[in-house]
Amino acid sequence: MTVKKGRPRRKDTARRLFETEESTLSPASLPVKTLAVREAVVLAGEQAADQRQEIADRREDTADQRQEAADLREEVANLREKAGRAKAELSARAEAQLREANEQLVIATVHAQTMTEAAEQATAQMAYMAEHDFLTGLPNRSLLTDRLEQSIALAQRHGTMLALIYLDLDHFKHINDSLGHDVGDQLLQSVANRLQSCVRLSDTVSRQGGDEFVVLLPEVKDVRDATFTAEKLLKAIAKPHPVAGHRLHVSLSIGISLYPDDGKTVEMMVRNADIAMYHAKKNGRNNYQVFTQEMNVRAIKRHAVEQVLHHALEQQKFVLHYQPKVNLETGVITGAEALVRWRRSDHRLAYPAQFVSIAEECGLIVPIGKWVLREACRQAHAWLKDGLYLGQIAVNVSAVELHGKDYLVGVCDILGDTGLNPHHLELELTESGLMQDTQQTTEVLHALKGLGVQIAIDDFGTGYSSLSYLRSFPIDVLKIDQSFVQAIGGDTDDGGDAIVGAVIAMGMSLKQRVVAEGIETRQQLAFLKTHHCAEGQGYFFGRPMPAEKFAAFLARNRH
Amino acid sequence: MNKSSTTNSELSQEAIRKALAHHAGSVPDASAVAEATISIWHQVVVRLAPVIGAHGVDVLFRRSLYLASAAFPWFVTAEDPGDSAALFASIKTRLEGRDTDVAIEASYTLLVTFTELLTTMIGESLTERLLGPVWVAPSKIPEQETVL
Repeated sequence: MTVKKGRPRRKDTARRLFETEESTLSPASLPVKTLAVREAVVLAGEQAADQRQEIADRREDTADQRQEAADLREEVANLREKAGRAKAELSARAEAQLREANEQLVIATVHAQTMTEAAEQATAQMAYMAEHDFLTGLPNRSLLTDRLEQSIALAQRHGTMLALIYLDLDHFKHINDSLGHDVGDQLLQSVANRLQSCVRLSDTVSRQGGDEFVVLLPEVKDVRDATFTAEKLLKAIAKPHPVAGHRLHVSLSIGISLYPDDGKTVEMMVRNADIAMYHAKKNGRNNYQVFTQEMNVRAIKRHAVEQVLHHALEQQKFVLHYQPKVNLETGVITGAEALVRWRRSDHRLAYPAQFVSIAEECGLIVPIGKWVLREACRQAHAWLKDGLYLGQIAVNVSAVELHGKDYLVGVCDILGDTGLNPHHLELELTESGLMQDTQQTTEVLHALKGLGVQIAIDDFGTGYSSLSYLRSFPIDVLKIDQSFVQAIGGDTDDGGDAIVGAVIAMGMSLKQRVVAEGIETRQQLAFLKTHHCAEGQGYFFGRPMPAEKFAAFLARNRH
Repeated sequence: MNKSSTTNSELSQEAIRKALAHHAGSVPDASAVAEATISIWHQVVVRLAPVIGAHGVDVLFRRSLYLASAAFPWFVTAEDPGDSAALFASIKTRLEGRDTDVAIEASYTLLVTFTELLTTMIGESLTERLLGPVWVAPSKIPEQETVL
């Protein structure tokens, strides 16, 4: 387009040439024919020139068109290049996005797998925990019941026998209380391991809770298979257990029941093995007992006593008798020990030895003990109000009560309700009762002492304890067990005199009152007085008597 | 799992074992096995990272390690070893500390576990296309492909 404008035309050039010739050759100087030729030539020349010019113009147009085409191609090429770059960029971006999406998908999938596994593990863990004991990992009561049911069904089908061994650690509570729960737990784990090592893989060792375990032997030929295993267990557990730097010694009480002889259901087998185990305990512990029907009779009787005790508590069938405590030097009554009696339906009185252990086992000792304390405090306050002199009213407290919840609060409530001055109350505790959970015991005793209540150790010298508690507990009174007093002056050289003498001396040096129990003879009294024992009680001074009689006794001894 | 997939899986496992033997040499010790393992892992990363991303490969690897630790508990430690490089270094050290036979089996288990895990996500065909070259010709993967 721009090129076309600036280029000179060839036709014009030719014309300018002829015009020049015309100016040189004047027509007047040439003949007519020549002129005609000349005109024709000129015309032809002009035509040729025109044609040439036309061709030249066409060439020029073609060149222009080619240029235009080239320009177009260039533009197209540029556009294609741009499009290619854009496509490559787009492709790279898409690839990156795809890779990122894949990456996220992989990560999400793996996370989903991990989460699924965690959920499955949690479910499996919950199922495991529902059937196993947390501390030892042994099957728990639920799983044992399941396996026992299956074993009974199989034994029934095949006409075979199976054995259930119920076992309990002897005096485990002492270890737990004196060395702490952590040591106790480790001991239970050690016991669990040993029990498992004594039985076959097809047998089941389970923990029922606390220090009770049950072993299921699904394949026994006769009772000897079970007793053989029981002996093995006794021996294995008796070996020292190295726990937390201690070498702990424990023993087992074992009860055995057999299918089908001793029970045909899970409940019967467990119950009868438990009854047999109870008899092993009663039989001195560290032994096994095979269930017999006679045991069941006794167990039924025991159960009947429980029921009657419940009834007695509801119907207020308990009464208190009071035995005087006397100043051995002056003969003055210094106090009384309240002793519970149970008035049976036939109106005969039952003594504590006949029902306290059952009451302790079934938990009734707590409400019974509370009733005794309340009644003793009420009666003592009444006597004091009537002007009768009574130093202290002594009430026995069982270990179960002392370590029960809110014991201290219960004592405070009773003192508040009855109005008895705490200084007139003396609580008698046994050594074994004191030694359980010593930390809590110390706190409770100090709180009682703070109230003004006197603390006495009953049956001193017969329990399982350490003398160090005499320093750590706030003890006011030591009561020498009657077995030592009754040995005074005896024929046998069993050291009774020496023990009594030593206890009196120790009590005096620790500034504790010493009370001798079970004084029955003048000789015993003389010995005790010689050794400066301050107080005593026993049939020599007076038997336990009902409240009315004791009031009269007090009145007679009023000074 | 059908018969053909079992066969493919077995072929793949055999290929992995051969690749490991190829990298570790004819009479390997635990160090050689550790070196071979890390070398193969780098090639796996090269092949897979362009498709599922470096982070994706890393997550799959850690998952495989966890699964393989059921048979070889020493594969995992209580503390997190850190990024991929630190993790590979840690694995290498742990393999080196084992008996040769144990190291071979552990490495083989880890690679098989990884392959099976990948297969569950993208299928056998794609897994074979992506990782086949690692097992077949471990040393012929072009260097430029390492650039993401």
